[in-house]
Amino acid sequence: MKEEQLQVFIEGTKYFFSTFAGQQVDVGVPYLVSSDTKVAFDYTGIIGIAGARKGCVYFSAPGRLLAKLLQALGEDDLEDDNLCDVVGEVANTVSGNARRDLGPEFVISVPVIVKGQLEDIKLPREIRSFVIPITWGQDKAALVICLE
Amino acid sequence: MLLHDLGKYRGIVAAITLFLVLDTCVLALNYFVSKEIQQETESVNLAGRQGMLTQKLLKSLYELQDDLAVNLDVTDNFQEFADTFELFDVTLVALKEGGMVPVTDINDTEQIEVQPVNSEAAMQSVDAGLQLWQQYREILGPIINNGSEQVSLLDIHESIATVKETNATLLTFMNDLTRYMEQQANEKTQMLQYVELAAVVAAILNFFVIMFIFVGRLKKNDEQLELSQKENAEILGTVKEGLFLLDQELIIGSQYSQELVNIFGRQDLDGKKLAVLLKDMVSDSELQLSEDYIGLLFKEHVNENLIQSLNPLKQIEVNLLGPTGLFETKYLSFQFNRVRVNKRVSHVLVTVMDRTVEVELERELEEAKTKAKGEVDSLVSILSIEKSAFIDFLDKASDGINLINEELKSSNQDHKAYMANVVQFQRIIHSIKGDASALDVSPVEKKTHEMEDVLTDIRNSDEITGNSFLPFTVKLDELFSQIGSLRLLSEQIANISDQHSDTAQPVTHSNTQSFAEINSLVKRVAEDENKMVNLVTQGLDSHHVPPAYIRKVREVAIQLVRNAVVHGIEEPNKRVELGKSPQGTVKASFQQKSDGNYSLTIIDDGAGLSVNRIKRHALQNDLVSEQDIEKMSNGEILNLIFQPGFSTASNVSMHAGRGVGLDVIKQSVMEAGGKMKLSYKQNKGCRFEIVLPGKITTTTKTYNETDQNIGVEQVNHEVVNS
Repeated sequence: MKEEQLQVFIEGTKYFFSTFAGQQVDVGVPYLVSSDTKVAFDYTGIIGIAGARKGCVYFSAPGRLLAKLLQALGEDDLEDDNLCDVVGEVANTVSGNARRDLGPEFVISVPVIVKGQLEDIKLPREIRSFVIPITWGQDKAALVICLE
Repeated sequence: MLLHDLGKYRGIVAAITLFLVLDTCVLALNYFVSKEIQQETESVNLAGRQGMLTQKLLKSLYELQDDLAVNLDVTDNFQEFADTFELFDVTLVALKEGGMVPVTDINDTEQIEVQPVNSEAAMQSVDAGLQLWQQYREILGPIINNGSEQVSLLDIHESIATVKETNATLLTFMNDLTRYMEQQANEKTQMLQYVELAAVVAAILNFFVIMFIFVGRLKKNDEQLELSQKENAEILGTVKEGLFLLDQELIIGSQYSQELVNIFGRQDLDGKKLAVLLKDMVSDSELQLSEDYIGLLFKEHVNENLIQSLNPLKQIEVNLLGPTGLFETKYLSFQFNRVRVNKRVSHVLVTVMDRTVEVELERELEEAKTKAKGEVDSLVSILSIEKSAFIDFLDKASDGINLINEELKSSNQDHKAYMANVVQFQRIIHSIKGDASALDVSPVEKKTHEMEDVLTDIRNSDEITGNSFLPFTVKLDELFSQIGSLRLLSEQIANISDQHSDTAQPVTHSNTQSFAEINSLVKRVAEDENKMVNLVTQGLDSHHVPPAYIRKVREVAIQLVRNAVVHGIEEPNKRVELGKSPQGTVKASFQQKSDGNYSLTIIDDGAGLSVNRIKRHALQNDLVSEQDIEKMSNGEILNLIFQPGFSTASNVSMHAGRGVGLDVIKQSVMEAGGKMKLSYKQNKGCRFEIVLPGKITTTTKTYNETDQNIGVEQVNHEVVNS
């Protein structure tokens, strides 16, 4: 997998936090997990990728981080729906960034939001996912990129 | 609509029309006959009235006679007599010739039309009546014409005499007439009943004809239709292509195959525009092209075969978004064919084929071809490598990759920790590279070399962040894949050789093979470095090396022999200048010493070590400060070559210059509880001796770092016999 392509997704995540939440994220050391291992926190925004490469990219974060994120965005209603919305917003920004930077040979979907575990996502066994640990303040989240 | 356009409905339409015509005829007949009967009934009544009038005429004559006898006023009775005469006369003439007759009395303005009697018997009665009446006219006519004032008793007497004489006969004629007319009316009524009965019978027959013949025929048609619909449904449900019809408005027809639903993942296609189906699958411009293309198919003058190459949907890649957020990629092929009805293009039949499996197979084949090309090198080396050594290599490489990945996962976010990671990774990668190089697995060798490049970049960068490792992780993933495919390849080869060899290879042979690759390694490295080297080995086989040490001894021997070739042996020209033979010699021997310990010795007749060069290099690479190095003894300076990141080769090549090597050996020897001795003489050569304990302790730590000091004994300036 091309490093530049991974970087596009990472930049999307960084851009969201620095632009909308006013505080940058720390990007941790990327590592690999087998495709049947899902790195999921409480809420996950998934974007599907097709075209030149196939698979998915998801941003997963615990409720606590998302609640803080909501507050940083000026929203005091920390209901479940809003937490889902905000994780979707991150994924949406990542998606938009990727659409702009990866060009037309990539087909990138709008996000799907999943609460809890990610059992339903089936990825090819022989590939591995890149896990990019994300730290925002005291909280940890992850950006996971799984492309064939 | 013309009758011949009705097709199979012609019969039933004819039967219904016949039924309606028959009904209309009967109704018309009924209407006219009823009207006639009504008229005849009226005539019958009139004829009956004539009978009554004959009696009334006689009665009024008697009353006139009575009045005249007593000289009473006769005006009223005379008038009644005259009216009666007149009414009888008018009615009788009308019955003969036809005409208008007053309804109640002669002064009544309401009149009815009377048809002349037409039956033979009735006519005879009328004629006979008229003949007799003529006498009445002759006698009574003048009396009436003279008026009531002129009437005399005598006239009346005479009249009564005549009337009385013929009155009964006239009454008989009139009664006969009545009877004949009644008879005629009855006959007509009866005829009408027969006709109606016949019409009802005909209607019933018609009904049965429709019921049994046409309903039967329709039922049969329906059954055929049902059968063909069922077959149609079976075909559309089974066919492996998406089939549907498009009309000129590009609207999808009501019948389409189940496969179409499967392909597009939607049911509601009936009556939708093609654009709705293709939305989100093709670009707007492709959609426009497709619509234009189908438009051409509806143009009669365009040759269908000629424009087939214009089909923009011949093969398209579509990405359908599933509910889990992942795309499902399909390769679809659309084919468009004209459907002609009455020689005119009525529809376009669209056939959609899901070519995903074929396209993916093609791709896999293509990938396999490309991969196979790349694997030929690996294959050649694998075939020449002893199986267990290769599996060992793969296992060790996998362990290394997994360890690195675990370290990446648990790495702390600070510069120092990152640096430690880089050093550790360099050591592991270098070791894998060494093994790959020894086994001549060039793709892995190349990949690990690239990874070393990346690690060097990370180490040299001013600030190391988590993201700095991204290129390394990407390469790690690639190495992961490489090792995976090599494992697959070796398993496939093993399967083939298992199938084709009847006898298993002896174990001893395989252990001897474990060291055989050192020879080829020396040959290859020497070639790459433009050097001439002769390798002499002694005791490097399974007879001398205990099984538990085979892996370690091989690993260390490989590194040291390679070091000897790369760093020790000089280029042929240089050697000649120094008065040596152009071909250098490297000796590798293994033996058990008298104290029970094992000894691996690698001796070369190369350049030896240069304290000054080590000093210079250590300073360049910031391994020590200038102040410190001034205070260091030669022994301490020599020890620097065992530091991570030390290498004295002037250029980075596949075989040297990364600053990784001796520290890996040091690590490996320490793990086994062994010691290392190093002695050298400038321009004469170098000697490494590794002493491994006679009592073997197994360790699972392959790559883990320890903090122990290295047990190296340096014997400087010792003469090395080559």
